Amino acid sequence: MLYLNLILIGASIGGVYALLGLGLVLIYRSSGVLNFAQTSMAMFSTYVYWEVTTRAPFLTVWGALLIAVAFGAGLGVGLYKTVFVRLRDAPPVTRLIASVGVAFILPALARVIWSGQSDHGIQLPAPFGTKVLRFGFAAIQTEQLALVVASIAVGIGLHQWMKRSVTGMALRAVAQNRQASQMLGVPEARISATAWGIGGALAALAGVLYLPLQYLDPNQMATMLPVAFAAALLGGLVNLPMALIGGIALGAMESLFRGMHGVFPRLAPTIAALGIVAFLLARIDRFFVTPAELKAIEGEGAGR
Amino acid sequence: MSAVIEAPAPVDAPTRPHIVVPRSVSGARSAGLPMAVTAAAVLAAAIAVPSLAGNYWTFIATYFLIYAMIGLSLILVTGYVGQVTLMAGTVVGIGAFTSAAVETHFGWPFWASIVAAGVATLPFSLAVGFPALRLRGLYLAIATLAFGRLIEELLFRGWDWFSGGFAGVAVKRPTLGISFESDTRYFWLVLFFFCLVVAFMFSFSRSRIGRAMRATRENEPAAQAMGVNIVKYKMMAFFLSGVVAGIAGSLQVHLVKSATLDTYGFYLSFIVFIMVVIGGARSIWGGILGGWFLIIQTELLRGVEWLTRYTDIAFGIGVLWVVLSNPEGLAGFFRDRWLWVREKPKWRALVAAGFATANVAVMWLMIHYGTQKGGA
Repeated sequence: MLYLNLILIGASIGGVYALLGLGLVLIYRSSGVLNFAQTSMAMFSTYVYWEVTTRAPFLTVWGALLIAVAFGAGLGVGLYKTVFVRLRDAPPVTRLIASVGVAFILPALARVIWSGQSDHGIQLPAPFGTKVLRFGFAAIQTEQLALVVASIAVGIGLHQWMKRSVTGMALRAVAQNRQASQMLGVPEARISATAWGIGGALAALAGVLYLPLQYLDPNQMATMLPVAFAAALLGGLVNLPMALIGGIALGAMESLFRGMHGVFPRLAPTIAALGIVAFLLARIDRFFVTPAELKAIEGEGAGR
Repeated sequence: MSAVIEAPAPVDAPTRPHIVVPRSVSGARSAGLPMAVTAAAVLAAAIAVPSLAGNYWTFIATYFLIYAMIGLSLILVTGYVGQVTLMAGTVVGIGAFTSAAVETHFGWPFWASIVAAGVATLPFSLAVGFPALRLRGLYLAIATLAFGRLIEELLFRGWDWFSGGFAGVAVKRPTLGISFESDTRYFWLVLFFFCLVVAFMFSFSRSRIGRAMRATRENEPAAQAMGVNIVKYKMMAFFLSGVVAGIAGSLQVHLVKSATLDTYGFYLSFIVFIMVVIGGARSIWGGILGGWFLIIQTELLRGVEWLTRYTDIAFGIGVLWVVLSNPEGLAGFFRDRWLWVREKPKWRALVAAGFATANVAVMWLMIHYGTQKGGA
């Protein structure tokens, strides 16, 4: 029973990985950027959430949550329009390096803007509260439960949106065959900007839901990046449902390992890294990616 | 009538194009005597640094040399065979902890421990290089990131015998007949290793192996078709890079006289990678200029209170500057300016000198003004 509870609590951290991983997948699919700034975007938007909760308490946490998510979306679109739109024809590695640059700027900017407050970390109000819920076998905080539910809902919603909506279809078209979709009149820049916006909003959501359980600091969440990569890689950086499953599973496994005895707690931080290496060497993506998409990835010269 | 009329340049005079195709990784040509004289002068100036700059700046200069070496190790992989690795900090850590461990546990002398630091990286280079033969580009970048994390967690954080745990390990500066205890002498020792590495890199870049590696970077299938053994050269690049990084790690441990967990890993890997990108990943000068930018420039402006908060932003913007408009980094930037001056040396040299002076003046003003204000 203890293990079930550990898995449930781990799934909440897994929800963060999943939200980050979903954003990574969307951004990668639309613009070919492996976004190293995903966690910094989450951290930065959470500062906005904190700013709103302290400056404008009458908006309640919900208003602050909405503003932070909107800010995250704007941040994503802004980053795309200022930096990454210029790199549409650059090699994938160049785009990666650019995102590393952004990942350096955002924490430093947060440190400049919110210096003083950020020295020891900031405690944040949790949108869903920290009340402990008990179901027969398990106890979980409302905020943690919200993370699990939100990530699953967002994952399923995004998947459906990609499948059914016109924008989603256009996004898939750009990812599969850029030239053909351009010739058919798909507005690539707008589609990519949309994906960046959603990616930024998801990052903000992840940050606002997760960081109240921790504390806010400019370096916060940076170590979650490899895990989010692992989640996204499970779906070959293109498959949304696998990124969702991967994120939650990784979180659950980490938590399970932490709660076990012997060498397991020490191995917990290595799970994601082992996962990445195993996924890449086993070329796990070929199981979850359609042949057309696989061809598109390889045509990109991303690797292999 | 006797006014001096400048002869127009012959029409067929070879003019240098503005956009320069990189001649070689080194960017150096065998210029013969002037080159040798310049090198000798630079070396003499470097040897004189401790007596000119005082203890504090000697320490910083040693730091700079070590970081430049780490940068050069990265260039062997990123610049020569065109592979992005994000675990440089971890490899440096392997060298650092290995040399500290063999000294504290086995009592090995410095020479043996620095060799051990270089050798200890080999199995890790093999472990990373092997998948690197299958993975390229983005996937290799993520894979090296993962490997770095793995080594960091298992070896550094997980094995206290090796890394000294949270307490860290203390080491002594070497004594080799004479003592290298003082900052000045240790600077000379590091300078010696640095010169070895630079000399190796310059001769290497023009050697058969260096050319084969660059061919691999530019066009893998073409290189393969020409009979270049890609597997061999990629592995070789990883091995050499690891050895240089390991030696740099060992030198760093002896500089600060201790090794701690927080120094090596994730963050160092990224900062070193960024340093090389800003300096220019394809040129030997890139490692050196990147190290200058990261260590010396930051240290010069440290006294300027309000400015220190912006250094990380400056690094990020530097990366974007390189990516968006200057793919060869500072090295390419300076080379292009140099070629621009050479085209019409008469007045352009003046302009360039003016700009350089203005830059130095602005920096001097910032340091002067900033330190006064900061009260440091």
